[in-house]
This record gives sequence, structure tokens and C-alpha cells, in this order.
Amino acid sequence: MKRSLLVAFVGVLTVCAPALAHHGNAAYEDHWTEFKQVKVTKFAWANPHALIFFEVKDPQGKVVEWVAETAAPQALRLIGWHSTAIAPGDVISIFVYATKTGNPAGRLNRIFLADGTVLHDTQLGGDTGGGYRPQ
Amino acid sequence: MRKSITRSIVALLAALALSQIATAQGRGGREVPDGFIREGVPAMPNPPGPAPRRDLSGAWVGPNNYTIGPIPDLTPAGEARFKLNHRYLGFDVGKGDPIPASNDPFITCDPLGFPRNLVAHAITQRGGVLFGSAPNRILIAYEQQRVWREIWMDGRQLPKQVDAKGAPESRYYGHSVGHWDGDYTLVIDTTGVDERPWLYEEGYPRSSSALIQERYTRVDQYNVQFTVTVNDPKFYTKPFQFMKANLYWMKDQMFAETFCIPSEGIQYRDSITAPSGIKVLQ
Repeated sequence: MKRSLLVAFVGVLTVCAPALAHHGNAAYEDHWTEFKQVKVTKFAWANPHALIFFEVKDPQGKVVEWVAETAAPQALRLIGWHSTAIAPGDVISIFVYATKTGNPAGRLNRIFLADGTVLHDTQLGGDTGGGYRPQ
Repeated sequence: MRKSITRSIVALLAALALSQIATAQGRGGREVPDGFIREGVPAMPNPPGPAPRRDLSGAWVGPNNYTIGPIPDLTPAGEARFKLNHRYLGFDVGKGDPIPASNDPFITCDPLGFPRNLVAHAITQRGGVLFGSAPNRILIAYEQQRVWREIWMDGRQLPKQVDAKGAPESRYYGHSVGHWDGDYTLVIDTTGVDERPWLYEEGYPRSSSALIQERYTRVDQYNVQFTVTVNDPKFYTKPFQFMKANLYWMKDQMFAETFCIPSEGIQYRDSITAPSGIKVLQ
């Protein structure tokens, strides 16, 4: 079993999301969940928002594909993202505000790449991207 | 003792604040552009030169430093239309409340239309705007969705109505005419917008009979200040300034392709909005 699939839920950290946001975030929990050393399956550098797909092993050992949304590419470029910032096969650690429905989806907080680079979300990642504001 | 505790708290808060700053300064990625100025663009003289006469041509970034509204009260017709527009994950949703469905056109990559496209650029403060020209008209091209508008400068009148027999069709970006007010302010009047797009993401409507006026004043070589006012008696109880912002001239600015592609909109709907419990209305 690849290390990338040896995923641990480190626990839920009760860190509240910033109130300021482009859209409201009623669909998501107000605390993040960390997934350590997960494998990226797809990176959609797309509108309306970019998506990161990754594999998570649930407590029963079943591999589940999660998806985290972040901002639109033109906003992400401002805070150091690029279409090649993440690629399928990358092993990352990722913090996600999971959806309240229990489905494997959520809003990104931040990602740690294998080389230590940190990529933040614009609105819920503690980085305003130089001026990201509600529309 | 009390002072000691106070100092400890202050030190802790300061450390937390510094850690937040450190986090906020984090940058990464494999090919990191530095802001929105591409490499190789020569530094521009500082201070800027004077504004050229009757000339907005070239590449601009923005809108920057924008403000919206305030939006006045709606008329009964405006209220009725507003109730049909369900914004995406509104701020007014309380914790534990049901998550409302949304028909924000942008979820499905429908055109933003005018003037919402200006606000979309303002969100990122990076929108590319290109002023060019063709016989009898000024052309304005936008990075977002790579759409363009044509502003007729030949003195023609705006259509008095649209979508009626003998009248032109409504358009997502409307019908526009322009003129110069003095040597440094371009005034653009637009009407005949297709009513499906929203004024902006909160779902406020604008009618096809609305008169929307933009005033672009070139302050100097690099800076334009502009306002957008809306006069829409069908939907609003009084005219209002919808938006105020500025543009910054960047001689050799390259623009990214920022399409909202239908297949990607479908992917977004199926991968995020549906699993999150948000129904997308068509």
C-alpha cells in the first residue's frame, strides 16, 4: 500500500473560518479537517472555481475520492498559484472545511506540498490575496 | 502579578498576530508569477506623464479599489424579479439553516453580462481591460470570458426599446453609445440589456430599459477613475451609483484566458455544489 494512501484524520481543529468571504459558506463546517499525505488524483484549474481531487482512506479502509474547491484561477494567480502548482500523483497534506452533508467535499483552507510549499485558499486560507473582497 | 499576566497575554497575542502575518505572506507554486505584472515589462516612468487627450487606448488592469452601491429600494416589479434570483450561498444563511438552492448564472457559466462583468474583474483586482478602436466606435475587451463591447461614437441614438417588432434584440452586454465630455472623460450610455444576468452576485436585477452610464476620467498617464450609475425606474425607486473604481494602465500587460467553460461548470456543479447540498436551479 502506498504511503500516499495511508491517510490519517488528525482530528478536527476548532479554528473558525474568517467571516469575510466572496460567497457565504453556509454549506461548510466552520472548522477544518486535515488530511495528511494524500495523493492528488486531479487538479482542475477551472472556473467558476478550481478543484483539487484527492484520495482518502476512510476508517473502514475504503479509498474515497474527496474534492476541495478553492477560488477562481485569476484570483489564485495573485497569491502564487499556477496551473502546474499541483499535479495528479502529488502527495500533499490538505486542510479542508468539509461540507455539512457528510459528502467527501469541502472548501480548501491550505495545502502543504511535498517540497514544503504552502498554497492557501483566497477566502478561507488566511490569505486575502492582496485584496480579495466580497463581490 | 497582574502586570505580568497582562504582559504575557500581550506577548501571546503579538506572537499570534505575527504568525498570522507570516501565514498571509506565504507564497508558493511551481511557476509563480509576481503579482499581475509579467516579467519583462519595463518599469514605467514615475511620476506619470499627463493624460493624453481623448485617449484611453491600451491595456488596463482593474477595476481596483472599487465600491458598490448603496442599492436603493426596489419597485414592486423589481422586488418580484429579485425574488426569482437565488444567490449562491448567501451571507444571510444562518448556521443550521437549510442551504438554499441557487440560480446564480455564473455557476453554470452563463454570461455575466454588463455591468456584472466589471465587478467580476474587481473581485480579483486583476481583470484585464483593453480599449481599442474601429471606425466610428471604441472597443472594450475584457479578460474575463474574453468578451468585448462596441461603443458607437458616431452620434447615433440608443434604441428606445428592445425585443419588440422593428426594434433590436436585447443583449447580455447591451447597446452602447459614447461621447467625450471634455478631453479626458469618456461617457458611455448603455441600454437594452438582456434581463437574465444579474446586476451583481447578490441577485439584484436590471431591466432591459435601464440606462446605465459609465464615466471614465483619465486622471494622468496611468490612472483612470470611473463610475457606473444605473437609472432603472422599472426596477428601482431612484437612480443610483452602482459602482466606483479605478483602472491602472499597463502598456505591455498580457491577459490570461479566463473562460468559464460549460463542461467545467458541469464538473463544478456535480463535484461541489450537489455534494454540498446546494441545488442548482436552471
